[in-house]
Amino acid sequence: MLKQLSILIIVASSLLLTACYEDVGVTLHEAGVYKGPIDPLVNASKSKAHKERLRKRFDMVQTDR
Amino acid sequence: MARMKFLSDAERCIECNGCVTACKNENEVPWGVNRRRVVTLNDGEPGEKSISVACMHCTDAPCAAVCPVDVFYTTDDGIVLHNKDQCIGCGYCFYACPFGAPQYPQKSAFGVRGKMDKCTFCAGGPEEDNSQAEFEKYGRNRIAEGKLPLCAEMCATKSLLAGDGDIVSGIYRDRVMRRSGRPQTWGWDKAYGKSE
Repeated sequence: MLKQLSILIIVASSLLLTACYEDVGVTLHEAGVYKGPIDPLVNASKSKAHKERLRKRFDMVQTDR
Repeated sequence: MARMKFLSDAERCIECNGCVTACKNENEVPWGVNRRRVVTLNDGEPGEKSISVACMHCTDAPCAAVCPVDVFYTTDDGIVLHNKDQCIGCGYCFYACPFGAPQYPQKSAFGVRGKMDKCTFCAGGPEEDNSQAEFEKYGRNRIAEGKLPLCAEMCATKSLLAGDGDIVSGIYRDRVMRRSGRPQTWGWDKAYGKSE
């Protein structure tokens, strides 16, 4: 009976200890790389029409005096 | 490639704080946070100089370099923006920024600062353009509307310019060439040049 109990304890503890396994693989952190959602403006700002619109706006409201 | 830049002409700034008011009003910036400030040197003395300061949208932004959670990104126009959902309010960007641009809405005990807030060049953030969520977190997205930052558009003396860095620097170069030198080292002629 005692022998069976000790075997049971060994099996149970070995099963429990499997939860303590630690992944030794290194998670590489890409420093300075933005990981959030993409801003729609990032794509929009690439278009020539957008740049032209801002240039016209500048000429309209910020001309030198 | 054009990069959006601010330029504050110290000879023209009259410390009216119109840019500060325009920014706060347009973006509904919370109480205690100033995305833009006017700094005056030798205040009250003849020849005092004022300059309007906010995020200068650095080409190699030190805030982005030190951010431990990488909330910063740069648009094709060179505007430095950030994602408030990722921000942990650690304050590293505040210490790294030479202009003191990053601001925090809370001044609670134990360093609870809240999400960092800064000038967005009126370009919002990583939400749908001109959506309610974007406005509440980042303020107005005037760039998506084809407009430029209101602080510069409102500037009465055109001290503050905002736009394509090449055009802005060209305007400033012309001003410097027009300006008179001694004996009048400050005043109308210095700011606007002699009339031709």
